[in-house]
Amino acid sequence: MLHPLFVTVVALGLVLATMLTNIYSLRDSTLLAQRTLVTDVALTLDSLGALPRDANLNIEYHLPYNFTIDAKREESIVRVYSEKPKDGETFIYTEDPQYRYQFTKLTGPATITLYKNGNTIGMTDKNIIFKRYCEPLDFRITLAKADLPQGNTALGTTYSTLAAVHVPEPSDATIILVPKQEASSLKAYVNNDKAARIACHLLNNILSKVPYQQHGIIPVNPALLPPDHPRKALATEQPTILIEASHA
Amino acid sequence: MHKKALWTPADILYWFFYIPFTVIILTLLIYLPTTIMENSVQPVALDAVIFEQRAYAKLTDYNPITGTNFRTLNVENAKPYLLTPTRKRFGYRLTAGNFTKTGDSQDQRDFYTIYSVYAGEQFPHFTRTFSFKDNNATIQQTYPQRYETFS
Repeated sequence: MLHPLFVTVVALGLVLATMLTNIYSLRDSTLLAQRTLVTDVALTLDSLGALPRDANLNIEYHLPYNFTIDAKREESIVRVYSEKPKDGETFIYTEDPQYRYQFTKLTGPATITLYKNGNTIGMTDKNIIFKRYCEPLDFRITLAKADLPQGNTALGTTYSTLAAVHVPEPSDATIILVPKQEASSLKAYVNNDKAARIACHLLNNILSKVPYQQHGIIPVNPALLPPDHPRKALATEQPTILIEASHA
Repeated sequence: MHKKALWTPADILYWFFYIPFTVIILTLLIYLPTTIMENSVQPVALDAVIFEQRAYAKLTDYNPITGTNFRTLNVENAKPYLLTPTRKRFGYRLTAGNFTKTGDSQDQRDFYTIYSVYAGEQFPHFTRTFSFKDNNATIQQTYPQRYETFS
């Protein structure tokens, strides 16, 4: 039988050693930081869905550690880890069916952007060109080819050329307009509400290619325009969008 | 020859108290700090507020230019978007005028129906009423104390 004093010393030694090991491992542990970060990011993404749908917002979020942050859309989780994904912390975010979710895998230290931009909520480290929120279309659209000029003629003449986009129904094609030169103003004149909804998607398509600083959808009453006015093309029952890409 | 007793009180103390007690203490020392740290981040109340605001933003109309809230209750427009496709374990009931909805999935409906009865510390329950011009909307939510997921 071992002496009780010896056993006591061994037991106390074990407890003390375990305590010290734990204290040191806690000191170096990033578990709490990861847990806090992942929860904060996921709830921030959730809260972006509480904005009015027409509002856009960028939140610059500083990622102070060398953590990697990404999201698994199929599981609706945000994940933060330092080395291996399976050792990291996760938190569920709640998707909003009104928006699409886009995530970029990012590694700190860095400043990341959590954003709501048009119909998209996501996370990126790139600059964001603001888009507009577009109501989902409950009809198929066909966009005839727009006659936006593709050449490099002087700004202000080329891009002030108007291109009428007629929208016959039903249709199954989408057109993406790609102006070749930088311009800072993009306007879509529309003749009715349906045209405005289509124009919204169209402008977002253009904005994903060309970073216009100013863009807008302008409803027009063609009946009030003189007969030779360029926007008289809108004087039709058909939803019609007239795009004006100009140099401001 | 003197025959030693099979179990002395000291033996019993040693084998059935001293050693198991040491093992328990060691286990607690290893797992307790990690568990405490994990459980310290359970912002269920914050989650509930975000959910309420999300529902509110969908139920009312805003002026897209000025951002002014018209304080009108627009359930029909909101219906397609009042969905919360999440595995997070919670349940809710939304009452807006004549419209009532309990959860999005059967899991959420069951959870709300069963556990809202036990609202309290174990199952935090949140109720918030928004006043609109012509009617009110009430959102009630029940969560588990710690985050869980539907299987």
